[in-house]
Amino acid sequence: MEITVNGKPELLNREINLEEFIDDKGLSDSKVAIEYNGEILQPAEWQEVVLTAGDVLEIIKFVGGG
Amino acid sequence: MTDKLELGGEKLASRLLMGTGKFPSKEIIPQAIKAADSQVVTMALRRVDFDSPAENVINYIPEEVILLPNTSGARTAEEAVRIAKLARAAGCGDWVKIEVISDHKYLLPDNQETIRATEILVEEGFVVLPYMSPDLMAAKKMAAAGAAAVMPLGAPIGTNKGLRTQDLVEILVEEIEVPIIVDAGIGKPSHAAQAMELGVEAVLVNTAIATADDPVRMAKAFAQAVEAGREAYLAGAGPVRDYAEASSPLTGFLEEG
Repeated sequence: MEITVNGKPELLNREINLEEFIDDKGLSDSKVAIEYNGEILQPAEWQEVVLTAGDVLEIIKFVGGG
Repeated sequence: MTDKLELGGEKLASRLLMGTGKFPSKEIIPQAIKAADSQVVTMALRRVDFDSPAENVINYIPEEVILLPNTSGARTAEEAVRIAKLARAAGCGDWVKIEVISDHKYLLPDNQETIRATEILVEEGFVVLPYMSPDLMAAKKMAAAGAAAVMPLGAPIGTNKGLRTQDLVEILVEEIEVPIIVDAGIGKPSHAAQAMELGVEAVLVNTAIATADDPVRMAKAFAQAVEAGREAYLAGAGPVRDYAEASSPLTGFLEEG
């Protein structure tokens, strides 16, 4: 199934929740924020969201800035 | 020292806020923060790039520091609100520097959208520090909306030109109840001291430290200048005159009588 992550298509070969997805991406130790289909989720909610085809994710991190 | 900066419910010993952009390496950032003695540090939010993963800058900011994410990239109040909420969801606290810009040549902030974003984010429980063009009426509206401080620019972002907006900033210092923090344009420690001598409560510096040949040393120089400027403001400068007034007594000269 295909989802969109940060504007790019991404294929998922199994049913996973958001927390697992972040884990797979190696981001679980990092402070990131997720917007799931336009809705900002708190990290505590990631486990409850199982990704389905067509989902749109924005995954945001911190960079240097003034 | 009882002179503390009261900001967002905190009492801060340091009046130098620091940005984390443009540093030659991330490893220098914690050293520069330490040398600057900064207690409030800004950063930006961007999409994670899975093709070229770079380490999260937050891992280089000491834990005791207050994080001040900015809303750079926002062109409207709504975009700024979205970015602020994302920052809070990422677990970096309630503080936010509002930056709403749609002018790409001078990066001058949109005061009107910034006022709207301030109103919304204060309502949402954020500690709001709006970056703004130094305009009295805009500053009054931001303060009335509940901004924790108002942050006028000294000169366009990254220009290192210094306090070109001095007269307007002085009006804000005189008329606005919340702290005035000069943000952007400060290029040298002397500029920071100049701003502090006017009675602004703090300065925010990024480019001037990050792009110095030795950023850590420059961070320390800024800390010293900010402290000197604050002390000078509290000491109260002597009057300026048009004609000389002798410092030595004008009586008892050797050739007298």
